[in-house]
Amino acid sequence: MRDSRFEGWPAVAACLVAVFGLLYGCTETPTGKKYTEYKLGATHPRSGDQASVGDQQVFAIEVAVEEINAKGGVDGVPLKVIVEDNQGKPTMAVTALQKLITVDKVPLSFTSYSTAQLAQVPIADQNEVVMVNVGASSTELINAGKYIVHVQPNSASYLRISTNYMLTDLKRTGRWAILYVNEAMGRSFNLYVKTLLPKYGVKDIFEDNWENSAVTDYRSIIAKALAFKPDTFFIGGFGNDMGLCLKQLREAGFKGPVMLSWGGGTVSEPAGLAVVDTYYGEQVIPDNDRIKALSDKLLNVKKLPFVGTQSINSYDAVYMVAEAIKYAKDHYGPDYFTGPNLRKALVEKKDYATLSTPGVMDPATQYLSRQLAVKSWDAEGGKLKPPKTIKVYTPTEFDAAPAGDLQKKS
Amino acid sequence: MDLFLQLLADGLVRGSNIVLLALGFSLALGVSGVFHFAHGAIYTLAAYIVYQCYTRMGVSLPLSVIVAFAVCILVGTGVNQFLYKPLTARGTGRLLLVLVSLGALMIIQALISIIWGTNVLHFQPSEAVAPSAHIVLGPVVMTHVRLATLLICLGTFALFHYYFLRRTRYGVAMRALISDPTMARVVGVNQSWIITLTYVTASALAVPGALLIGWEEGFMPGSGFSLILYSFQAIVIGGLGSIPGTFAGGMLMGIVASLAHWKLGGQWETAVIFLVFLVFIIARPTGFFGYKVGKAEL
Repeated sequence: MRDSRFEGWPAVAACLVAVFGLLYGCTETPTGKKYTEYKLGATHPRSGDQASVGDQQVFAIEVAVEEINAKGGVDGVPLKVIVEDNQGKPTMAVTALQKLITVDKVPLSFTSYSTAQLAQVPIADQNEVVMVNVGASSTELINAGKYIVHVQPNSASYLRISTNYMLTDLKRTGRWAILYVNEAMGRSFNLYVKTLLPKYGVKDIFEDNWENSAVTDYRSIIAKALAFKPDTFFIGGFGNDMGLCLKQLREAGFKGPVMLSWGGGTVSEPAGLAVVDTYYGEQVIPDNDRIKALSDKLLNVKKLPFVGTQSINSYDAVYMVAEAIKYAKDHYGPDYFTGPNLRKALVEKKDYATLSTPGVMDPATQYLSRQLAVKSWDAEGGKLKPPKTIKVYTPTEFDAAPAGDLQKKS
Repeated sequence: MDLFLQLLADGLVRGSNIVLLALGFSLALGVSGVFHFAHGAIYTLAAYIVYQCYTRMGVSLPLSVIVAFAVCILVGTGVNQFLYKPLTARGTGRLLLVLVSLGALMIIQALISIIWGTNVLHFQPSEAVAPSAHIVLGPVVMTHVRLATLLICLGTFALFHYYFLRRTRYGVAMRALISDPTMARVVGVNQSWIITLTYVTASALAVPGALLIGWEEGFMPGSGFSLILYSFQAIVIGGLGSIPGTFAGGMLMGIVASLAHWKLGGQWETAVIFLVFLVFIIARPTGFFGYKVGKAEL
């Protein structure tokens, strides 16, 4: 008699498992990833000579994150920023970024300080992690890497408008002395201004530098510069160093106008009244409630007399990234929160509605274009007044990045 | 020539800043045998104490300075009492004591950062900071504060070397310990007490320099760190354990740092300073007026 038991049950079971598995796979997203938070990184100087600038930047980032999360984050998902100390040094910056990439697995990091960023760029490109520059302006950063996006205008733009103002409006066509910090940013200032001045007919140019931002005594290089008998000075540094150099220049007896690579509280604090009759280019800071609220927080908590663009750019960078995350989520599928997708979103989106200061992304250079102005300080009753806008330039007149030959490395 | 004279004058003032810090450092090294790098942090602390009292709390300047002296002396003797003394008693080697001292410097510096932040600070409110008035001496331009720094340095050195160390009981005892600790103990010098007094004196010596340079250039947590390195070079060039040598070494360092700019760019300053330092180490390891290497070896 034949055995009537069915011996194909294992095969049937296997088929059923396969069918269920297929159905399960078809109904679930390819990765099934759900984000409970958007983890971002930030590398800024939290110790060392530039710590005061780093503090402002991180504070502004934290304010922006708090505001965005208070409104529900990005479509209900909060932002989280992990901050690492780059000490303003290239080696520390690389270590900090590598930790954010390998341990914290961030697809994007806010960052500042030119020398530090230049060291980080190859790491970012290699790992396809976006760097958002909130505070570095060396011309060497222009097209330095695929994965670097800039909220901070390039120094070339500032210098272009301030030099134009000094030469065409103030007619300072005589002898110029350039003093600068001997780091990537300072060297780029020197190269740019030195190249620009002859185009306005300036022939006699003296240049010298101080070693790094930790220097506090500039009198020797000032003495040497004054022996050249210049009519105008340009000082290019970070902030504290510029302010001290300027103060010591005035103490050495120089009374003429001075062009600065930028202004703000980090310059006026050490320089005090020495900043009167100095001129610098800066992005226009509109007078609106959000800027005022940020300024008030910075003044109350960080005790800064004047808020600078470093803080505003750090603040706006977070909002820009939040909009880019939303854009990526709406356009790039479930795996949107990656470096390549965020970079694509930041560049494609171009217009950002939630920034405190208007800006449009230039896809060619990956710089956010802002309105720029030449500014100066006045004093009244022996006390310094807030800097005033002397002349405004639209982004189309002076772009975020310079043209042609200056994009070569110095 | 005008430029040379201006650079020379600037160099003398820079040297004065180095000497004012190096005197205490040299004294501590000579008497106790410890490379007291934490002295740099005590120097920085002086400026912050005056800032806290005078700028933030509105205390009068003379009283603020007295408080700064008191706090610095307390911290300086505390470092000796709780770190160097027990470690020395246990026979800890010199190299380890250097590391301990550097550690103390870092801790004090970090505490300063935490309490007062990392911004460059000034004694005057920032909106009223103004370039200091200056005097013109021929081709040389100098602010009043810088001239005062030079004169205070000369005065402090003269008072300290020619009066305190030679004509006071404690100063003579310190010199005895510098010269020959064993013999000094034999003749009744209380080494422990004199070492404590040494750190009191050294810490007090740090205060004037900190205030003068702080007034001119502001101060930040790391202010003392770079200057203590120059001070170390000054005492090596001058001769370990020699106060006149420290004075000469400090002045030389300042002049070299300034004159380096005469024909070279600013980026050469540190290289030139260290080159001069290395030349001294190689050519004359005892420095200008140093004791024998066996006594004061690194």
